[in-house]
Formats: sequence, structure tokens, C-alpha cells
Amino acid sequence: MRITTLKLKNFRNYQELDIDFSDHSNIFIGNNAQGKTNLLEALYIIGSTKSFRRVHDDQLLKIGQNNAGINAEIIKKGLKKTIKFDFIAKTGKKIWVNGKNSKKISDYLGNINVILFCPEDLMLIKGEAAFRRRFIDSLLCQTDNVYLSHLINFQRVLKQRNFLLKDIQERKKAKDVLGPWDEQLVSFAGVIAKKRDILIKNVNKILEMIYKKLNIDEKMEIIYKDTIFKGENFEEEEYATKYKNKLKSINFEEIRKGMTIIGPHRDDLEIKLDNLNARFYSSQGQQRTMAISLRMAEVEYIYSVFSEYPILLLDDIFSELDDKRKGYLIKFLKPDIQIFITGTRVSDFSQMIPRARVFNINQGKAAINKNE
Amino acid sequence: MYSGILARMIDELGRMPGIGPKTAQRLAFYLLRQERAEVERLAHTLIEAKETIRYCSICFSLCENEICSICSNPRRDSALICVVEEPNDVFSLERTRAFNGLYHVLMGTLSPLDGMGPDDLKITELLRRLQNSRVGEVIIGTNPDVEGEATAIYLGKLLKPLGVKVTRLASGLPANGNLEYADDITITRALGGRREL
Ligand SMILES: Nc1ncnc2c1ncn2[C@@H]1O[C@H](COP(=O)(O)OP(=O)(O)OP(=O)(O)O)[C@@H](O)[C@H]1O
Ligand SMILES: [Mg+2]
Ligand SMILES: [Zn+2]
Repeated sequence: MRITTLKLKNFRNYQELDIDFSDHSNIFIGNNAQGKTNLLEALYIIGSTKSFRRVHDDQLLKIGQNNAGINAEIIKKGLKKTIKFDFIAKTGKKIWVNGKNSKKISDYLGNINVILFCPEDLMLIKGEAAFRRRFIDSLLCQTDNVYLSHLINFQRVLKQRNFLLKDIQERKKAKDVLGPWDEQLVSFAGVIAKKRDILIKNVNKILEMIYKKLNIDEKMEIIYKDTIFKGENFEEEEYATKYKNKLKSINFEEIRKGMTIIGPHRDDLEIKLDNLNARFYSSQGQQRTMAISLRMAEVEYIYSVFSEYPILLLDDIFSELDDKRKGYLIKFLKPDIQIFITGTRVSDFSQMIPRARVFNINQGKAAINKNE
Repeated sequence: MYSGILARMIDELGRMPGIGPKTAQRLAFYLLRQERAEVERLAHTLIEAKETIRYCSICFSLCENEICSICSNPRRDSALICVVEEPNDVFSLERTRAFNGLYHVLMGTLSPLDGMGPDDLKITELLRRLQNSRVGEVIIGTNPDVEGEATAIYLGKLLKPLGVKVTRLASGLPANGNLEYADDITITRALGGRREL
């Protein structure tokens, strides 16, 4: 997978940008606040339709402008495509692939896969469960259309059901209309939970391989903590049945709280290092290695599905890693992966320079470094 | 940008579904270019339609009389009722000519987010139709999204104890899609492959 050209119009601090990329490493060098991360953000949007900063689309528009655009040429499986995003203030965005409008996210995802490595990845280990759920969801949504549509439907049913629970709490609706929503909730949930379970088992195998390759004599393992079986084995239908029964037994509590308190939206992953919960026992350095390893596992998983590596975005990664972990990462970066890296000093990347294209980023402008 | 009556005209046109501000402008300028008689004809048609068209008192699809031409047609199979969400779903199904039974329009779906519960749909009216009637099968043709599905499940539970066969229009319809946009071939296929609820 490759992104060969990128054009921006009124995107963040870029008024106008038009650059061609190297198929291998692309390094964005510049002082703080010049627009390096903004470039990665545009590339990430091409992969996922959304920013990793989790902001409203309107914030992507250059301040004072009413519309913005991202245009790119990409290659997946040897197939060239042109991608076009138009953002219009207070209206939303439109996406075209080869001139054809993608009406739904599910029509678009899968054109190209982009994985971001950034310092906040540490939250995968240290942070709230939501970070880990986002990790599994993003990986499954990129690789499994059935998962994506079940997740969208699940979230819609959940929203309807929570609204209904509040109505019942306020005695606006009778209790007996929960049935049709419960039935759908548990059947979507069964599929989602089983797919998460299988994914985690695969990720564990990949992690073992990564730790071996990096020569780290530790065992990193993820345990899927769903709210229904709590880590025990289950099948799709078993999950749905048990979930439905549990909903019945906590009905009173759910009405009191006015929301759905168990199910895939409350899942977590327990991340273990040598059998201890990493969140509470591991050192900062071990946690950083685990966070990077999770991203590497994501990359390898995508490779296992598409037989092609995704595009890697590395934001401020090198400056904050010690030499040992920098070594891990460099060892992992294979020549057939297209990479985009940001940093403030060229010297941080001396080992990569020979194959890399270096761009100097300065106040919303990108210039190719002549020493390439 | 525009003021006075022109601004009001664009605003009125822009309130219609599927019409954004740009299209509203185009329509406004188009209308202003027309002869007075043309515009008058359009205005009269709108008012006349609004005054004559109403909901059929049996099935709630649109018609010009008390009872629609489908409900009053003796050649239609009155043992078969297809339940749909909106009056325009009746038109989509009629276009295919694949269905020879009667219809029942619910006027919406279950949707707590929009404040829609069973009492807000034409369900009592459907139950009344089924009483002492020779209806043998009810096909539930609500859209295959979660609201349409919730409505289908609810109706299934309600109707089955009455001894009537209840079926659901089977797949063939795009997920998250709705009847209005499905092409005729998909609808015909969906009609053929209905499953029992
Ligand atoms: N919508 C916007 N319109 C105009 N400028 C913006 C917009 N959003 C952000 N900026 C500006 O873009 C600049 C660059 O942001 P970016 O995060 O890309 O910096 P960076 O080069 O990655 O810096 P650092 O090295 O500190 O991470 C910031 O100064 C910010 O004020
Ligand atoms: Mg930055
Ligand atoms: Zn009628």
C-alpha cells in the first residue's frame, strides 16, 4: 500500500500543498507548531475518514475558511486510485474514490490502511478501557466488513435502548417494549464479542512472534475481558443467550440508571506481562515497549489479512524512545513498508536517511530537503 | 445574501427533504424565469393535491377517495396483507407488480429517539382489520434497519397468538438501506424469499 501524492487545500495550517512521496521512508522535519502532525492527520484521514485527534471535522478547516480539501493518489494491490475529501463548514464532508461518491463510511473503508504510532499509545496500557476498545474496533473495522456493520447496528440499538430505558424510568413508556431492542442488542453483541475474542487470540500469537524477533525475554499476553463471560470461552449463540438472561436479571437496575450497563460497549482487555497486570505492575519502559508492540501487532495482523503492509505514521516517536526501543522499531520497519515520520532534528534519523525523502516543514509549507 | 420575498422563497424551498440551500436557489431562479401561467399551474396543483389527497381509511396509503383503489379492488387477494412503514413504500412495491395482496401503512417505526412507541403507529387499526377477517398471512415489509427490525419483531410477537401466519420480507434488500431506494429487482426477490417470524 502506498500514498504517492498528497494535495491539501485550506487544511489546518496548510493553505495550499502539493507533494509527491517516496515509496519507502518520508521524514517531516521542522520546529514545533509548523504543521508536521497536521500532515500525518491528513494521511490518517485518507485511511480512516476520521482524525486521530478526535475533533469535529470543522476544526480541520483552516481558520477563517469555509471549505477544505484533501486529494491523494493511492495504490493498494497494484491498483491506483484517486481519493478526494471535501470538507464544508457546518455541513460535513464528502468523499470520492475515482470520482465516485462514497455515501457511507462502510463504502470507503478498506481502500487503504494506515496505522499511527504516537506517544499517547502508552494509554493503551495505562489508560481507560475505552482506549483498548478503540484499538480492537479500529483493527476489526479495517479488516472485517461484517464486524463494521454489526458494530454500527449495535451502537444504534444501544442508543435507542438507552433512550427507552430513560423513558421507562420517567414512566413515559411501558416496560414491555424493550423486547425488540433486547433481541437485536444481544444478537449483534454475540457476533461482535466472538470476533473480538478470535482477534485477541490472533494478536497474542503475533505478539509472541514479535517479542521473539526483538529478542525480549518476556511474555506479553492479552486477555479479553468481556462483561458477560468475563474471559471464559464462549460461542456466539451462548453469548447472546447469556447476555439476554443477564439483561433480564438486572432490568430494575438498568431502569434506575437509565442505561445499558453490560455488553460489548463495556468490554476491556487485560494486558499482562509475565502474568502480571501491566497496568499496575510494569515499569514505564516495559509499558512503552508493550504499547509499540501492540501497534506492531496491528501492522502484522493487517498484513496477515491483506498480504500487504499498511502505511505507517510515526508521530514524535523517535525523540522520546531510548536507544534500545529505537532499535526495536528500526528492526521492525521493513523496506516494503511506506513510512511517514515526524521529528525536530534530522540527526535522529541518520540510520534511515539513505533511503528516505526528507521534507522541511515550515509554517504550513513543505520543501524537499536537497540533501536527499 | 438575498432579502425580502426572494429570501423567503429560497428558505421555503430549502425546507423540503433532499433540497439543500444551493438546490433551493436554483429552483427559485428557475421558477422566476417561468411564465406566470406556469407558476400558477404549479401553485394550483400543490394546493389541489393538498386538498384532495388523503389517507385511505383502511390501509393509510395515499388516495383521493375515502378508500384507496387497492383496498377497493375485488381482484386483489384480501387474504394477504403487507405491512409497510410509509405510504411511498406502497408505491415502490406496486411498481414491481409482484404483489397482489393488500397493504397496511404503519406511519413510522418504533424509535424511542424520535419518541415513537407502539401507540404512535397504526397498530390498533391493523389488529382491527385482522379481527373476523379472512387474512391468512401478514408480510412485514418494514425496512431492514434496526428500527424496522424492532417493529417487525414487535408485530411478530403481537400477531402470532392471533393464529395468523406472519412473515418478514427476506434479505435481498441492502442492509441499512430502505425500500424507497431499492431497485425493483431486489424488491421482487425479497418478496419471493420471505421468512416466517
Ligand atoms: N484549523 C486550523 N487552521 C489554522 N491553523 C491551525 C489549525 N489547526 C491547527 N493549526 C496550527 O497548526 C500549527 C501546527 O500544528 P502541528 O500539530 O502540525 O505542529 P507540529 O509541527 O506537529 O508541532 P510539534 O513539533 O509541536 O508537534 C499549530 O501552530 C496550530 O496553531
Ligand atoms: Mg506534532
Ligand atoms: Zn387502502
